[in-house]
Amino acid sequence: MMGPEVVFYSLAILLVLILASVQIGIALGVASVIGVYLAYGDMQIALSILGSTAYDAIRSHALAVIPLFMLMGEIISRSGAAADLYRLCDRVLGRLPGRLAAATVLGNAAFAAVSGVAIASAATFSRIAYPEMRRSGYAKSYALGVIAGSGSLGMLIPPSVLLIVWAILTEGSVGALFVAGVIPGLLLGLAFVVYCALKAVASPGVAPAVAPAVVCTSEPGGSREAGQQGSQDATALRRQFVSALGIIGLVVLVLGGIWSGVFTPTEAAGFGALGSLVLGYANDMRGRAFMEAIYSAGRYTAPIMFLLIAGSMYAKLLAVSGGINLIQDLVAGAELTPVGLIVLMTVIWLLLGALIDSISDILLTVPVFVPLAAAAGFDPIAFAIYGIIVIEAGLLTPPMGLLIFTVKSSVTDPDVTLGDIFRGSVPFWILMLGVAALILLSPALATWLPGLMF
Amino acid sequence: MIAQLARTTHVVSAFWVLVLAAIIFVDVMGRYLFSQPLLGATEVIANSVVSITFLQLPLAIYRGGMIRSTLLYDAVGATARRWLRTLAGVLGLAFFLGTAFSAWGPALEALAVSEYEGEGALRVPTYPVRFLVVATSIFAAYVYLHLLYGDWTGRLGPRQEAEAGQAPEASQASGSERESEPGQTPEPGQKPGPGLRLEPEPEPESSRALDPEPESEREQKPEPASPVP
Repeated sequence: MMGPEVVFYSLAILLVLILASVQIGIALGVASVIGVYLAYGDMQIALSILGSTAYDAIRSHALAVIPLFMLMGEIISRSGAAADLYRLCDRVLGRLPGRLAAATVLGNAAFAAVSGVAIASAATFSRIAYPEMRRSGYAKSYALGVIAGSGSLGMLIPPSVLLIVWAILTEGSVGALFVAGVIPGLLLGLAFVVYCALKAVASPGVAPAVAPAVVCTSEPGGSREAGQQGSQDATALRRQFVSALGIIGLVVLVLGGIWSGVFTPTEAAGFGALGSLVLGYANDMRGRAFMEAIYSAGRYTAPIMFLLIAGSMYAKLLAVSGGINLIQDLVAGAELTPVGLIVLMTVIWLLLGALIDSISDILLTVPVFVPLAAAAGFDPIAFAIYGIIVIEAGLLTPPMGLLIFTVKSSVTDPDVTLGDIFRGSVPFWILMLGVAALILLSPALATWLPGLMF
Repeated sequence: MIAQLARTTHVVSAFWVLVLAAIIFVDVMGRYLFSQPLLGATEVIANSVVSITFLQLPLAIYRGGMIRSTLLYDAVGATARRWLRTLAGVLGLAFFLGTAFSAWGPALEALAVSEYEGEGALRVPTYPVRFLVVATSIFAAYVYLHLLYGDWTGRLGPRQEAEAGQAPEASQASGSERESEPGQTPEPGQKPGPGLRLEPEPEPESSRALDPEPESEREQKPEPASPVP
């Protein structure tokens, strides 16, 4: 029998197991069982946490949003809509300096509004945007940085898996967090676009001006007859408009539905999934393509849901062992100022973000951090958005930043090194932390829109 | 066999998500148009989330889709890697055996006392999902056992080795590094681990047909700029 200090033993076990490359969900579960055993000295009780949590933790109407949004995102990403969006943004931006980079940011932001995960955006745009930027003479690390950096918009602009997980863990409203992510997400996107343009003006070498509409065709050196090219361009343009209208329609349906109170998030996700079928059909997806999308959407749902189950086991351990109170007392004893507290949390998030994925990061830290932040007087919604931006910045942090690796593995250019990508994404990393800090300074950026709901 | 069963439960579960979307559609439309929501939709959806997840777990484990950190794993040699895989496999096995074991009693009890949830006329019994959790946990444990056995005997089917070598980084989920080589066994005389990891073996054509979605083909959409006129 042990007191609350058991939480430190199980935390140590957890970290060792994660470092030993045990699957994070399994590590959370094993550490929780051992922790409960140490606290109660009864194996029966310790094991019961497994069965009961497996059944109860995710048996919730609200959590149906995850498989449904995964399905929607998968269908849309297979419909070719992302490439259409990118090319349309490129057309619209006209003569903006660094136009191709700015189009990457905007395309990412729009794609993010219908997709729940950052990695998908980074992988998609590595294939679409990077070759275009290189062909137009953009510097390597500038092009790579904008792809890796703007991939992070996917986690902030709803629907986002991270926002869902955060809301569920803190028993908050998924809808409110979704709506809260909109303005910070747009702000971050705007900051990225401004940076891209300023950088292109300041050093034209990294992003030479490109004649508008050069990128409408993806064939290098295609020498087609002018008339044929014109008709192809018209077809492409029509396709791009269909995709854009479809995506705008889905955003209005899903986010508008949640914001206006017509839909719960789960209902919005159901309608979004069905709507994505329509968009896919309009973009010439048929039976087999749909089957593949449905099949592969499933492949990414189970690992996330399993993490949620395991994370609840760990949260139960923290609660029953009194570990949370112990940590809170420790922090209170340290007499940190709110600023000191935030800095401490930020450092922990960035360090963890370099080691584990963002959902695990949330599962490990949020049960402890959120009560601490509430006690220090931070608004829960603004704090959530702050936390998610910082955790996403962790995905750009060496040595393990996941977005960096995704870009590296998706770009076909063999000359690209991880160092190129890290260097290029530093400005985006700084901008993310800047916007995060701005949200803590003026929480209204996050709380204003949810306040207008219903 | 094990792979086919895992794939079957996965397909069932994947299409179940689409059914969920349809249920939600009917429920909402019924409510707004006819003031008649679908009875029991809430309970069915909540229980479906559990079922969908557990039905997908065996394939996720089999294909190495479970999220883990590979910081140390990438830094050590082939022998150490095998021991790390073994540790992970044994703990996974124990985890799911423990889950099945501790979920069994409540499942029996739920059946015996006809435990149900829902309000009014509609009663949704809880035992089917409880037993499903037990059954799929046993299956998941068996998958871990299978991978462990394969890792130490070198008896991995061609299918599994092909999967084991697939590049993980381009995966879409928000997770961190995905296992690329579950139970992969560098047999004496074979190439050592790191080489295998970087050079995915070509998938046999037959398995391609079975599995609609090899990792390497993910997200390679037809370039939309050049549709056939």
